Parts: sequence; structure tokens; C-alpha cells
Amino acid sequence: MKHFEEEYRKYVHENTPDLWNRIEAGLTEKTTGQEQTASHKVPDNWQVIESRLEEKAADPSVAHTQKRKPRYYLRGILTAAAGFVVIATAAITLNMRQKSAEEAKNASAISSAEETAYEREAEQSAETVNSAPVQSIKAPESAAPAAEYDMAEEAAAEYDMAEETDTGYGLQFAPAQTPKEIQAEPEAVMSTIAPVPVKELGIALSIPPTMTARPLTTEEEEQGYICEYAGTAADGITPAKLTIRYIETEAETLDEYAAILAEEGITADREYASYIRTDVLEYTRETQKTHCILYFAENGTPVELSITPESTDLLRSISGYSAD
Amino acid sequence: MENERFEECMHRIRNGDKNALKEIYEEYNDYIFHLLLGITGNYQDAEDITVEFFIKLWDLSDRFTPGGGHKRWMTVIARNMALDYLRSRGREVPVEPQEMGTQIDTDPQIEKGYDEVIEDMSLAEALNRLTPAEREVVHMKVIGDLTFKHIADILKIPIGTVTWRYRQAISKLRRCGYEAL
Repeated sequence: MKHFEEEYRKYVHENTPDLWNRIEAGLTEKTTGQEQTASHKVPDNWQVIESRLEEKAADPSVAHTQKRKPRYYLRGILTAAAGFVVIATAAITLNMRQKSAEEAKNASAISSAEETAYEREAEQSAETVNSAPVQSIKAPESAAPAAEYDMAEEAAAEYDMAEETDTGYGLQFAPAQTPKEIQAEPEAVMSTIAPVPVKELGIALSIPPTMTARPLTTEEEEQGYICEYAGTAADGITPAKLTIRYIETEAETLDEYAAILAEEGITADREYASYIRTDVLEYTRETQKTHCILYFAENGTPVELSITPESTDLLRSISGYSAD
Repeated sequence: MENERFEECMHRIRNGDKNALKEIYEEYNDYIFHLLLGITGNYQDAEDITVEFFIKLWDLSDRFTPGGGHKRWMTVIARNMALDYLRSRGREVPVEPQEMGTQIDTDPQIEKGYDEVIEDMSLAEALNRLTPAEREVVHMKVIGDLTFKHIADILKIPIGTVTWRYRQAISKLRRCGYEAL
């Protein structure tokens, strides 16, 4: 195998013309900075640029971009939540659906005690990645001997690409620096789940304390729901909701599911993405005001993470983000 | 080039030091030219805009604010110049794939996980296997040394889309006999 980066640098350098003479010929003589200040000299190009900036300020498309800003944060939240989903794959593949309600209750109890860093604005996200509290729930040991297996640590290793991106969002899935680990009562958990073929299973969550888990009904579990977190209504703000569920579909790939969505007329904001090296499909169910991420678990089951309803206020109730 | 060094050069440029501009030129000519070549798809156009770009850098030195990350700053200026140039010539401005509705660039073989080397290609041939969008991300990452976050900001697309394109590009290059980045 040839080394791409090395060869590409060489290729780019060898195929770049020397343009310095043309550039130098186009340079205008400059006065010193002090002289410019004294004469209030403005570069010729700046007047043109200034007028363009004014035009852009009045451009409705720019205003549209600003309106979409909260959606940008939404993507951050969904990225974080997608991280959770990836970790939750272990639970999925181990047929642990029936214990979701129990786990949700535990997670809820944990989340209320945690302080979060989610109020930070987007540009401070690198700090958020390092400091965001992570809830860690550990299932008990099973009878099968195996090396200690901490999903949170594995997630940290897997997270290098996402971490490198220095994402600027208010909410992040993050490997714990000093995670607060809660050991679930073995009896309580074992009473509802079958033994799993690993020694230890860790699930890392980044759910803000403003959201608590809602126990699922039997009917919902049968419909494929894995868990659901919701905020509480306060000050006229309708609670937001984050749901993870299996999707009943014949689709076996993201492309096939995208085609099914197209048949259903769900094409808004639909795009492929990659979170923590997991390929996902994003889309918006406009009628339900729900933004979704779907990926295929290792066992081939499509899992959908959705956040609803989609609005700036509700988003804030999840992320703690405040424009102020 | 480190930010501090770049800022020092810009300070010297403000005082009319052409050697400072040449220092920046020597560091970034490769990056800027091929970035513009990728957008315009025309060698001559890329040359012309590259010349204009460095002249603009000279003229706008007073407007440079230290501490903001010079690579991103330069990339945004260069891209905007290229897109303005294409518009002024009545040529089609590249559209980001996610804005095209249902059409999404996906290599079916990569979808199926076929990642083994299938051909030993020259680099030029391998690069031709990449879509313009993938190539742009790879160029910004490898030559521009930009983070995915910065690339997403510059291209105004979600960071997940950037990493997706990057992964697609890596897979294609690997199949052409080039080790992952």
C-alpha cells in the first residue's frame, strides 16, 4: 500500500505553478500603518467589500441562515444522542429490550444528581467534550468469564475522530473523564434480564438533568420502543422528548430506507452522515415536527433516534442552551 | 505555518514588506491553488484567482484580526472568490449534495463494505475516483490541516456530512492502493 498523504503532498506541490511574479506585479505600494491611521486611508477593495456586506445584510437568505441556527444546535444534540445509540447497540444485540424500563428509571435517578455543562455556547464545546458529565450504568457480572469490558472506555477510543472535530455544540456525547458510576443493584436488574455473555456492560449517556426517563408501557415495548426521555413542562414550554426505538421495516440498508422514506414523502433534511464512525441517515418528519437519525445495529435492526417536537424553545429545554 | 508566525507576517505586510507576503505564498500557494482548482475545475481560472487571492491578502492585511485561525480565514476568502468568479462568468456553482433532494453520492461497493485493494492506480487516477466534494474535504484536511469542525463551518454543512465524505474518500483511496490517511 502506498502512503496517500505523503504522495498527495508531493503531487500537489509538483502540480502547482509558480505565480509569484504575477502576484508581485499586482501589489500596490503600502504606506506604513501609522501613515494609514493619520490619513484614514482605506484600501480600494474594502469599499467594494463593505458595500457587498451591506447587500448581504439585507439578503433574506442570510436571515434564513440565522433562523436555522438553532437547528445547528439540534444536530449537535442528535450527534450526542447518536453516540448513545451506538453504545446502546450492545444492549440491542444482547436482546435486552425487556429491561429498558428498569434502566430508564435508574438513569433518571442518576441524571437528577448530575450537574451539566450544557449551558455553554457552541464555541466552547471542546471544553464541553472534556467536561460533560456522563452517566454510566453498569449491569452486573454474568457467569461467563471474560475480560473486563467497559463500553464507555471503548467509546472513548472510538471517539477520537469526533473529538478531533472540536464540535461546537451545546450537548455532546463524551467519554467520561471522571464518570460517576452507579452500580445497579444486581437483584433488581437480574430479576428482569437474562444473563449476558459478557462480564460487564456499560452504557454511557449524556442526558441533561432536565430530561428524565419515562417508563415504557408493554404496548410500546412491543412496538419497538427502547427508551424515552422527556423534559418537564414549565413556564409555558412544552416538554421536549427524545425517543429511541426499533423500526419495523423491510429495508436492510440506509439507501433502502431512504427510498421508503421517499415513498412516504419524507424528504425534508434527508441526508447521510457519519457519527462516531457509524453511518446514519438523518431526516425530518415534518408533520410530527420530529427530527430523526436512523442507523442499522450490528444485528441488522434499524434503530431510530428521534427528537420531538422540533422547536427552538424545546431544544433549549433539552440542551440548556440559551441565546442570552 | 503557526498562527503566531502568520500574524507576524500580516503585521509586516501592513508595513509594506513584500517578503512577508512571499513567505505566506510559499507556505500556502499549493493549498490555495489546488483548492481553487477543485472548485473551478479549470487550471487557468485557478491560476488567475490564486494571483488575485494573494493580492487581496496584501490589500486586506489591515482587516486581519489575529487569533481567529488564519487557515480557516484564508480558506473562506479563497472559496468565496472562486464562487464569485464562477457566478460572474455565468457558470454553475457547485451545489452541496444534501441540497439536491434525494440524490446522495454513495459508492455502492463501499456501502457493502468492499474495502480491499482492487487496483493499483496512479495518484491522479485515484483522485479522479473521488467526487469533487470528497476531494475538497480531503484537500482541506490533508493539505490545509483543518479540523472537521472548521471544514464544516467553511462548507456550511453538518459535521457528520464532512466525516461521511472523508470516510467515503478513504475507502475509495484504499481500494486504489493508497493507505488510509
